[in-house]
Amino acid sequence: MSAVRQRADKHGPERATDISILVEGCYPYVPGGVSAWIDWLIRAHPGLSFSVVALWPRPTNQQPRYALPPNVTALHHLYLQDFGGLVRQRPLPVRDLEELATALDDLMMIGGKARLGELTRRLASLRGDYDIADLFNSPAAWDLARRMYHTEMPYGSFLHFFWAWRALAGGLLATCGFKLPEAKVYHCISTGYAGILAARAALETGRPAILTEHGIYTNERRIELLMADWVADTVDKGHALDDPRFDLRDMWVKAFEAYARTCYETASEIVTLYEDNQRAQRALDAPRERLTVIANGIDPKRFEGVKPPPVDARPTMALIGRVVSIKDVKTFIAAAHALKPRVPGLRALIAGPLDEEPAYSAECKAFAAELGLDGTVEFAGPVNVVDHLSLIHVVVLTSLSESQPLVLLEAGAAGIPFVATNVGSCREIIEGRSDESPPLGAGGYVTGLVAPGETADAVYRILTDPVHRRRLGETLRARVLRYYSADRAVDAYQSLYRRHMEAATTQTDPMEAA
Amino acid sequence: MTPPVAPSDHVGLHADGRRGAGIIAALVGLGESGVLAMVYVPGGAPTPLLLVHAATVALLLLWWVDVRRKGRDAAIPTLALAGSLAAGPVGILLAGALGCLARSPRGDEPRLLAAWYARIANSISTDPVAQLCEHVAVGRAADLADEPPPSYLDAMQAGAPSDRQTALGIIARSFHPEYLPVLRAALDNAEPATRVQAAAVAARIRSDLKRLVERLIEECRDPPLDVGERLALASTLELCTRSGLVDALTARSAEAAIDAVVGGIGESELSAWRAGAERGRWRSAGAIPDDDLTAAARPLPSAEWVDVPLRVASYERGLVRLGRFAALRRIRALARPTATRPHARLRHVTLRRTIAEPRRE
Repeated sequence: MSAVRQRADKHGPERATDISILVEGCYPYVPGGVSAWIDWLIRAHPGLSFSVVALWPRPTNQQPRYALPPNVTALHHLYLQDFGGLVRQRPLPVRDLEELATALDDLMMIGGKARLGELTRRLASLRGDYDIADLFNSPAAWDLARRMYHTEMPYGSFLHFFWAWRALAGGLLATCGFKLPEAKVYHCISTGYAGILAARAALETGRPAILTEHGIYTNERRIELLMADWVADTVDKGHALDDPRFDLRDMWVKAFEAYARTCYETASEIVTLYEDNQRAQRALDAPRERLTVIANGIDPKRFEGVKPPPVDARPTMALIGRVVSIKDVKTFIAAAHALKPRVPGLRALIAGPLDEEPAYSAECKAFAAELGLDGTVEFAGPVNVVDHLSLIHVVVLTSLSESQPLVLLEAGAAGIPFVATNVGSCREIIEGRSDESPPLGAGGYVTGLVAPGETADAVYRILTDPVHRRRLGETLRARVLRYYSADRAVDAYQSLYRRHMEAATTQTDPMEAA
Repeated sequence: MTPPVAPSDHVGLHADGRRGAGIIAALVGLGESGVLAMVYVPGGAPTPLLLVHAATVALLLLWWVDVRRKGRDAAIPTLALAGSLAAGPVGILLAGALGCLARSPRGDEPRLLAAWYARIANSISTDPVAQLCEHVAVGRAADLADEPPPSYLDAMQAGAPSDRQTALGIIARSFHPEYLPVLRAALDNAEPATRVQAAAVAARIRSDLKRLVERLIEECRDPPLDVGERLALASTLELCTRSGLVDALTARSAEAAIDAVVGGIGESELSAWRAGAERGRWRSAGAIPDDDLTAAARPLPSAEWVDVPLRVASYERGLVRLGRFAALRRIRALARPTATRPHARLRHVTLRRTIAEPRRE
C-alpha cells in the first residue's frame, strides 16, 4: 500500500524545508492549469525551500512535465490506491476494532479536526502491533468494512459497498500512514486527500497548514460522482430528489465533503482565486475569518506595447484558447454566424491549439463551413497572444467552465474589452468585486452559458461603437493593473508564507491543541 | 411472496422447546436413578420399586403421546422413552443431557421458517418489487396513490442545492429531451456551483442530443401516418431546438423538419385527433369508466368531445353527489397541470416514448 511505497526523489540531502506543497493529481506530471501555477509559485519564491508531495492513485510511468526548480529539495509520492496483497495478521481485539471503525466512519462521513485527531490517535495506538498499511489488507479491515456497512447502508449491496469503501478508506489510511516531510508550513492545493494530509500535518507537527483552492474540489467531485456510470445505484430512489436513504453516491459525496470540512477546519488560512468560490467553502463550514482571496496575476509590462487596431482594420472578435469542448467554441462560431449580416467584414479568430480534441476541432471547422463562414472564421492554431492582440477589437470566451482565465487578464492588460460567459471569476474581473473601491465600472459584458444570441449582441455593441469600446477597454485595463498583476500575487503569497512561518515557531503541542 | 432463502441450519431439525423437554427428562432420570439406588440398598424391596419404574415408563409414554398429539417436537420424549426402556435411568439422563445441551432457538426462526414454508408451498403472492417490475415489463404503471415527485424545474428555480445536484445527476445519467428545459434553467441559475454542474451535464449530453436531433430530423422525412405520433415527433424536436444546446445549423434543419411535419396535418384531422386523444387519455388512465364518460356527457348539448374539462367538471360533481371521494381524488390528481405532474412520476422508466398529449394553452 501507498504508505509503504512512499518514495522520495531527492534533489539534495533531505532536510526540513520552508514549505511543503501537497498536491493531488497534477504537478509535476500534468501540464497547464494548476501545475503551471505551482511552478510559477515556487519559482516566484527563490528564497524559500520547497518539498513537493505528489498524490497519485498508483505508480505510473508518467514523465514529469516540469523540471523541478532548484529550490525544490525533494519530491515525494503518496500512492492512494496502490494496495498490496493479503496480509495475515492476528485479528484486532473487538474493542479496538469497534473504536477504529467508529473513528474511521466518523471521519469519512462527518469529518472535522477532532475526528481526524481521534482516528490518528487510534491508529497510533495500534502501531506497536500493526502496520497501518498492512492493516488495510488484513482480516481486521474486512471486519471494519462489515461494521461500517451495517452502520451506513445495511439495505444496500455489500459487494458494491465493499469496493467503494476500499477505495475511500484505502486512500484515507494511506494518507494517515504517510511519513510527513518536515516543513515549516504545509500548503495544500486542494481539499480531498491532499487536504487531509495537510490537516494531519497541522495536527501532528503543530505547523500551520494553508489551503489554496483554484476550483472547489468538492463541487467538482460531486458532479463527477452524480453523473458517474461506474457508481452503482444500489438503492432505487426513482426520480425522487429528497429520498433520505443513503446510497453509494451519497457515501462518496459525503466522504469528500467530510475531507473538505476537515481541511477547512484545520487550515490556518483558506485562499481562493475569487470571491464567488467562498460561498461553496462557507457551505462546508469554512470559518469566514480565515477566508482570503488572492487572485492570479500577469505581468502587465508584456502588454504595454499592444496598440489598438488601425481604424481601417477588419472588425475582429477573437476566442483565444484551446479548441476543446469545455470552451464551447461552437457557441462562438454560432455567435459569429448571427453577427455576420450585422457587421460587414467581420472576422472571427480562433487562436489556440487544435490537437487536444482533434474530433471536436474537426467538428468546429465543419460547423463553420456549413454555416458559410469560410471567410469569416479563421482557425489560427497556437499563436503568440501579444502579437495578435493589436489586431483584435474584442476578445470572447464562451467557456462552460473556467476558474480565473489568464486570457481575460491579458486582454485587459492590453486594454481590449471582453465578452465572457458567467463562469468562474469572469464576472468579478469584468464587472469588479463587490468591495471594489472606488468602483471602476464594467470592462465588457457577461453572458449566459450556451447563449450565442447574447454573445452576438454584446459583441455587436462593442464592435459598432468605438467610443464605448475604448471606455470598456480602459476600465478593464485599470482593473487588471490594480488587482491582477503578478507582483501583487507574489507579494500576497510572500506575506502569507512569512506570517505563517513566523507563527510556526511559536506553536506548542499540536495534539494538545487538537 | 418471494421469501429470503432460509439458511439450511434453520430449515432442518431445530431446537425449539428442547431445553424444557430436556429438563423434564433429566428430572425423571434423577428420579429413576433414585429408584435404581434403592434397589441396590441392602434390605430394599425390589418389587414395589420396579413398579415405580414401570409407572415412570408409562408416564414417559403418556408424555410422548401428548407431545405428538400437540404437534410439538417429540425428539426428547422419544429419546427419553427409548433410553428408559433400553438403559433405565442412564438412558433417561442421557436424553435429558442432550435436551439441555441443545442450543436456544433464534428469535427470528419462526419468521424464516414461515417464509420457507410459504416458498415450498408454492405461494402465488408476489412481493411489491416483483409486482412493480412486472408492471413495467408489461407497460407503464402510474402510481396514482403515490405523491408525485417534485418538479425538477421548481427544484432548479427554488430548490435546495442538494436537490439541484441530484436532479442534474439524474439528467446526466438518464438523459431525455423532456429534461432540456430543466437543464436550461440550471445553466441560467444564479448559483455558480449549479451553473458549473449544469455546464458539465450539458457537455456530457451534447453529443447524445445531437444524435437524437439528427435521428428525429431523419424520421420527419418519412413521418408516421398517425397524427398523434407526428405531433409527438414535432414536439420532441421543438424541445431540443428550444434548449439552445443544439448548434444553429442543426436547429435550422430541425425547424424546417417541424414545419414540414406539422404543416402536413389538416385542420379537421387535428381537431378529430385532439378530441380522440383527450377521451383516450382519460379513459386509458382508468380514471373515468367508459359508461361514466357517456353519462357525464349526456346533459351537455353535444356528445362530441370538444370540451373535455367541462365534462370532467360535470363528472366530478357527480362523484361528489355519490360520495365517491377516492375516485374524485384520482381525477383531481390526473387533472393537475402538466408542469406539476411531470412524467417522472412513472418510476423505473428512464427513457420513454413521448406520450402523445395535446398541448395545454
